[in-house]
Amino acid sequence: MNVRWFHRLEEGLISFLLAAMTLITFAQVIARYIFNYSFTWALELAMFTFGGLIFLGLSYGVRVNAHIGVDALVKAVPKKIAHIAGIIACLLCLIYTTIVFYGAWVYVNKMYTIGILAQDMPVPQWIPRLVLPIGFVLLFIRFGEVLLDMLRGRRAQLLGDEAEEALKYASDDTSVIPQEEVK
Amino acid sequence: MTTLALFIMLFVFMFLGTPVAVALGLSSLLTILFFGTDSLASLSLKMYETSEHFTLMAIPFFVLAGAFMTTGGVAKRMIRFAVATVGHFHGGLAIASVMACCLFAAVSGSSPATVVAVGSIVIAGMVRSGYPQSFAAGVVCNAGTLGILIPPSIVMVVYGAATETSVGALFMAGVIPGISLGLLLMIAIYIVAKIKNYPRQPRASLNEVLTAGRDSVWGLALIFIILGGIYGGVFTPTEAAAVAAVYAFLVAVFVYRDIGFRQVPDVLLDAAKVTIMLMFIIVNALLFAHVLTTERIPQIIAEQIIAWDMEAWQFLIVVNVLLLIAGMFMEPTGIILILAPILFPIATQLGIDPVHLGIIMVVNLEIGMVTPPIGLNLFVTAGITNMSIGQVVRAASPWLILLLAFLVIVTYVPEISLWLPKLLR
Repeated sequence: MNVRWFHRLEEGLISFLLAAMTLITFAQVIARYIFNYSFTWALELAMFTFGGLIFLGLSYGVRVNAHIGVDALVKAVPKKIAHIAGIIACLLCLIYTTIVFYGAWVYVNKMYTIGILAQDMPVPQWIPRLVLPIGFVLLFIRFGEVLLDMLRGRRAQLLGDEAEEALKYASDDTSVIPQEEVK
Repeated sequence: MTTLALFIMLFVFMFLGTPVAVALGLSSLLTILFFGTDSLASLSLKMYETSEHFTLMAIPFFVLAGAFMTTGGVAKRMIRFAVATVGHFHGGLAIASVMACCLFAAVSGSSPATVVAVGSIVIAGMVRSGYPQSFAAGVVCNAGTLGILIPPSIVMVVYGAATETSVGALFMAGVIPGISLGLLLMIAIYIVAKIKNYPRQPRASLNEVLTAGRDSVWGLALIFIILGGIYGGVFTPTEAAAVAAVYAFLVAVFVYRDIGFRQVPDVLLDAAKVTIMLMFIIVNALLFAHVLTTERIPQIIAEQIIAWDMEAWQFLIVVNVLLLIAGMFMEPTGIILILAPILFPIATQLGIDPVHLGIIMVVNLEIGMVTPPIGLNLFVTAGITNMSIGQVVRAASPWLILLLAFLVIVTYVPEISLWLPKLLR
């Protein structure tokens, strides 16, 4: 699934969901304190977007290596063993994804059959919860991709590196520190 | 038996290199499949319910606020202000670095981000002024841990959500310990600098202090909006976080103009990525905690500890040792969600204040960030200085002793944490 438009769509969607949940919550505060008006559905809508952000975003997290783990041991052993460990780790991820997907599918199906509505919005419960099975299908595809890459020897790791991540905030502009000093 | 299987699976999966979130989730799911009675559908419901947790919604907002503040030149402004204020003391630049870390921690909820944003500028500056690199790196690596102790703190939000403790009270409780630890580091630096005769900066003019202060005030206002808003009863911590995110956006784009409109989507995507990473761990850690509770692990341990007649102070030693070891290997959010449900009921029975326990946990996890083998602050310090991990560990260790001493004080003098939230209640 290395399609450009799909990546753009994915990135656009999760950025939008984050912005939306922030603005909804913010607007709610403003409405309550400035206009003394409170819209009850705001909280629920913010929660739906939060759910969407988390579960639809999981597979994006795999694509950009965001999911962290403990790689101290894997780094310490010979490459060949590390490679095998990596493949096992991928298989474990696929098993996990399958189990959750199955549970989510049964659950959403049940919600669909019962057909209850959300608390404050006129939406059936199963619609916002669809992000769960959809998210885990996407996650399965992404983990499967990593596994294939590993088998072909194209990709060495599954885990993200949080330290690497933080380092992009580095700056080499030391102009704020005065040069001269007192002896 | 079940518990043993649960923990063995967790460790095996984790050390094989599966993401922490998957290791937590899969070990819980398999345990339930083999030994439990819950249906898979109800477990999926549990996972989805994480997104309906109002307190946890604060996490994406604080991450977003931090992203706007970190991308901009906020760190630079705070460093300038700190150098102008305390630069003329012995070891002035190092003291200013600690102060800048404190200030930056008040807009960011992350320790490694604090180390990188402040450290990448001040370490180079200190080395140029004649400080040994190991001294500069050690100071910043440790001072950066203040990121999770000084509010806003994502780790505190997670603790609040896990134990149903007031996030507002936790934030307030972090203020005095945070400032005390900062001061402690500054005093130690002053003494070392005086002995080793490290350079001082020229005293800044009052004008420079005021200009620099006025320049960083926009960023610092963030923390006053959050704490003031929560304690003034204007909004809940989650709403405060959303307001903080919008405020940080306005300041970064319109006041400081560090980022243009075009870069806003990038900042959003970046914050979304961090949120997803954290929430994936949280979703699965909550599942893990659910298995622990259905297995009645917290109750069994609590009964055991009560049966041993353990006193509060003895129990706190156990807590600290356990957390220090856990902190060496795992990431703070996961530790809190796994251990808080176990430790919390025992602590309440022994009469330990939940807010105090929260601060103890946070200080322990701070120390976990500067202890090998897995200490994020060590890694990022190595990254910005091109030192090896071993060198950074050696550079950080003298200050680590100070952190440990501080932990003992915070553990046994609850007033340091509780005085401020009690005063304001």
